[in-house]
Amino acid sequence: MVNTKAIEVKRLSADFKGDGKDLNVLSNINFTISKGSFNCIIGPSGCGKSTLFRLLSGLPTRDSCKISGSIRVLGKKPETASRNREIGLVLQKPTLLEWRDVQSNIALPLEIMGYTKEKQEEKISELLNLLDLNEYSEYRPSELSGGMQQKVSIGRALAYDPELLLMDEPFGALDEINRRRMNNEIIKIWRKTKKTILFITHSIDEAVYLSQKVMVLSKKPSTIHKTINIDLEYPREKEENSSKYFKYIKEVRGYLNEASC
Amino acid sequence: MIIQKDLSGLFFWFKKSNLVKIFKTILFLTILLLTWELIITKFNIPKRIIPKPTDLFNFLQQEFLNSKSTTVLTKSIFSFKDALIGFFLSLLVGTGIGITLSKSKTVDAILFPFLFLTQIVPVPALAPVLAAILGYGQTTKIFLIVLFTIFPIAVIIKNAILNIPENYTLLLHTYTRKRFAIFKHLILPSLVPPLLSVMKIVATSSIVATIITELPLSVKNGIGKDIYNSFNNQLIPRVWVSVIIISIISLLFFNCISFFEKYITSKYKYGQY
Ligand SMILES: Nc1ncnc2c1ncn2[C@@H]1O[C@H](COP(=O)(O)OP(=O)(O)OP(=O)(O)O)[C@@H](O)[C@H]1O
Ligand SMILES: [Mg+2]
Repeated sequence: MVNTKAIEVKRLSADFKGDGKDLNVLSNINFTISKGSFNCIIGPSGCGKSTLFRLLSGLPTRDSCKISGSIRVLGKKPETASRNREIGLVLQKPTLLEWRDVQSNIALPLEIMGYTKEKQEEKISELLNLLDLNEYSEYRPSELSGGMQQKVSIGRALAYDPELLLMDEPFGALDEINRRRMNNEIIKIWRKTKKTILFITHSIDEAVYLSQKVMVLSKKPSTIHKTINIDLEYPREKEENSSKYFKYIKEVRGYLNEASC
Repeated sequence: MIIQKDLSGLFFWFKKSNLVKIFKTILFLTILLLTWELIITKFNIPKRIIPKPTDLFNFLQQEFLNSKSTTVLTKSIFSFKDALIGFFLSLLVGTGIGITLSKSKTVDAILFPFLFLTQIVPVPALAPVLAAILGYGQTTKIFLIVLFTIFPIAVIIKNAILNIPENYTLLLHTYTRKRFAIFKHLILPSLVPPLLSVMKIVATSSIVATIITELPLSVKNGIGKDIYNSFNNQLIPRVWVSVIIISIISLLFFNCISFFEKYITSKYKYGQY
């Protein structure tokens, strides 16, 4: 049987043990994400989105973080998926290395993973084309705008061809216009590469514009308050002003309001 | 401050725009020497307290034109050579210690007090003890220089590693779990700027350390020992000239490193996020 689930989370809870007081951040989270889909998680500030992101990414957690429940990423433990290089991360900040130019920032994971020089170059030129960054291949990160920096870090995450892309508020620092531009880019990339994407945001508009499925997290201790399937055609430039689009916005806003109080 | 700034002009003499600077420096020095000479003569201050510039020039002439034994310059260079050995050794060991301290809080807690001791125990007091173990030779001297200069290196390197933003470490973790790869691609480049700036501190302190360590030890040929002996024999102009020579060497060394630092920082941008 082919496993069509990219992520499967069951009864996931997470607590931070502090001195004396415990902080229950995630409580009984359940959801599944199917392969090749675009999903958003939205929730109030500080509700535990980044904590969930960290757990899904398979990175070592702090000792103070106690978790229960099960997480399967591509049918395995997140750590295994991460070790198998099946997960690509895009963080809130671009996290580029200033001493490397655009192309060698994209090449960083390839270098570390021991790709041959030819393989690296092939991959880099493919990605520079995909991201329209050819002209900038020799720029330093600080010479680029915030949006472009984030584009480079998306390129870096795609470099080793992971099956799943996890993005934690990647465009949170951008203005509306640039954010929309990057939204279009990421949709383009998603449609070309057919990756599974889990995208964290706190913008309602961004969630509806991007995804097929929006999961609304409640405030701490947070759980999935509601899941909304967005049934709109891609690309969504045309849909953006339709009444259906507004209906979804209103629906998500309603749930988010419920979830926040 | 003024002197230092203008003398750095001497070092960068090859730049045309610095010609004016050099001229100003020379003018400044001339006026300084003249005033100095006048004041000493006017108030009849004895040579054993403050020598006049002419005394210094007399000594220089004697030393470099008439003397057959080793000059103060040769001795200064000899000491500088030891300072350099200590400098590089200290950087190497200090960086190693800094990295070790950053790895574990326990190791830090155990080792740090000892590291701190190197700053409190005065070198002259420690020298005889060490000399009894390592002998009165160059080994002890280098060891003392390292001991004297290592503290800021280890502390700055440790902090630089701890200050690497967590995001970067996490991100590299998604590419590899091999510590060496993370060290090579993230930690090492991040250490370049703190290393360069701590090199400037250690450049001068290693020379000071060399001079101090020469007193209690019997390493011959060093300028520190020579200053000490000259002082005891009332050869005050010799002391002054030695001090000036060693200061100029320190200054040149410091400027070399500053120049190197500027070059590396602007060209490679290591350790910038
Ligand atoms: N290491 C930690 N130790 C203790 N508490 C923590 C730790 N990390 C996060 N928390 C707490 O867990 C809660 C959730 O944090 P998290 O960063 O996951 O929120 P978030 O939803 O990503 O917020 P934002 O929208 O601001 O990005 C916060 O209240 C935070 O104080
Ligand atoms: Mg967050």
